[in-house]
Amino acid sequence: MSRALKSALFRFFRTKWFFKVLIFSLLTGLIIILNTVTTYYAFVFYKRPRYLDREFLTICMIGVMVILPFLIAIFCTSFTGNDLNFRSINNKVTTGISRKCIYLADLTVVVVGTVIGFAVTTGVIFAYYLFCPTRGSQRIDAHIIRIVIYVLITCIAFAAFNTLMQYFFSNKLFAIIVTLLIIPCIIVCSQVLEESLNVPYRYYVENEETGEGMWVLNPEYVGGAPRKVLTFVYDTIPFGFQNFIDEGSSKFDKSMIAGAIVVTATTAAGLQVIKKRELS
Amino acid sequence: MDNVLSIKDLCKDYGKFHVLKGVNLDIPKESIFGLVGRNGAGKTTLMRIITGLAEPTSGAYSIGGISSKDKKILTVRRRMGSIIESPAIYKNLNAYDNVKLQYINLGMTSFDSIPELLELVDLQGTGKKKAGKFSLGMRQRLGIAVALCGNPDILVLDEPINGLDPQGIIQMREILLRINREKHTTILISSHILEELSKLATHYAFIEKGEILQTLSSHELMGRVRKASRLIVSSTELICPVFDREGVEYKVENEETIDIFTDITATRIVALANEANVEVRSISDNNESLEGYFMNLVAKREGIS
Repeated sequence: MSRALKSALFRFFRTKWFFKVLIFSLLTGLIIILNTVTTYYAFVFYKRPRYLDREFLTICMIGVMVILPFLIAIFCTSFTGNDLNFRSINNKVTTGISRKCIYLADLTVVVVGTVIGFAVTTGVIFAYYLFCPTRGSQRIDAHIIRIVIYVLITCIAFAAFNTLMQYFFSNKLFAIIVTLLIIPCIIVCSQVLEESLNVPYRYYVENEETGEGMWVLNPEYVGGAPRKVLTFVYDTIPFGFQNFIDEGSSKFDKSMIAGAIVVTATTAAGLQVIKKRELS
Repeated sequence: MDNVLSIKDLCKDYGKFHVLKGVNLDIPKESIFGLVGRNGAGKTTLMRIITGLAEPTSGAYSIGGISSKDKKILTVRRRMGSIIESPAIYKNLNAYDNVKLQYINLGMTSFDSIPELLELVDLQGTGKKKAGKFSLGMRQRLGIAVALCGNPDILVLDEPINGLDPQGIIQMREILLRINREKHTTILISSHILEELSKLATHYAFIEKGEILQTLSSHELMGRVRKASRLIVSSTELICPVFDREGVEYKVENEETIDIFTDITATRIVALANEANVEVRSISDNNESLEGYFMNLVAKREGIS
């Protein structure tokens, strides 16, 4: 494992990916701040600038969750995908490094890159929040920290999924397309679930002739076991934006467990893929 | 001579397609072993299995006495370098870093010998130039340098001179001969350019449709190839009836060129030509080539099957 890891880390630094990750995540952080501040100050009441509060951080973290996976996908494709594309992985196999170690080393470096990118992006956002002169009195609390951990775990899960896709598909372009399509798919899925769960249980109907009104059960309301299933799925998949707002719920814990399961499952699948894969 | 690599009953199937059908092969130590076969004969598959890039369906092989079924094979692989089809190099790294990366892959901690290795393949002056900007010949030579990291006992080279210009081919030949001579490295090599292969190999294996047809040393090959004299005359049409009458075995190449396979002196050839009233312009040795020998071997096999 040490040979594979040293080799992957050497490549990470020598191909300047370390610096590229730093620069791109710094830019991502600045773009998110700029975008959020613009949106935030649009809600100006009584022509007075609004103080930055905890909600600002929440919106920024949603931005991180949406943008960072794209950067992770590009980094992962260039790092892991090139190893397969240049067939340089063959040099590791022929020197007796086990395929399992090659996969785990690549995954480790991809995760390290993801964590660095996340730390820089989040660091820039938090630095802006803490040192901004229009900051409100609210401090960073447990809920914000939970959001940060949640987004980090989601990014790591995404990196693990991305690494699997690179090894699963022979064509790195195809792999990145599939990976990038996953992000909008999950966002749409989250929104559909959110909308279906927010359908009111009943609604009030007024008889035009008599003027009498009555409560009628909404036929579109999903109840019983299907609701439990939908709630569970919504709670565990990323991009459920309601999750960011609701405080003190167990949704974050469920999502974090789901993220950990994704990392474990994709790693296990990746180890099988590389073991069975015929290298050209 | 000891065998550094032994292959026993090796089979490889892709679905219903049998790529390798019970291949048996022994590669002697310090030899340059040429693997000769047509496209799709199974050469690359065999090399991919030996280097660990693919798993055999059945059978086994051993490197330095360690069986492929033994877990120690991973350790023994460190003593093997390879290029399969094209060099596996990082195009976004320079020559030095590509070699250094392979040193790291091998678990080596000293990088002092890298300049010497780059000098061996004539890439010492490439500096920071990325491998992606190298010419094909330079990439092939870098591939050789990467394969030579850690001073391997055995080198597996699949089509290492593919796409090289004549100068590149000569350079590659000289490098391989030098490695074999100076570092005593065993080389298993396949190439479509059989004339070039014949200048390198000390042993041959002929493979066709996943089966080894024959293995022999270059000395044995020399003894088996058909000896021929190439005759350039004013008219082959006139001389052929005379050769037929005298029982001379020949093959007409064109209107002026004819190959004679019967052991016959130059004086006798000239006498027969005079008899046919044909002018002899030149007589030279034209022994059967490796390509001709291989084609005859394949033709015989197809005749049998």
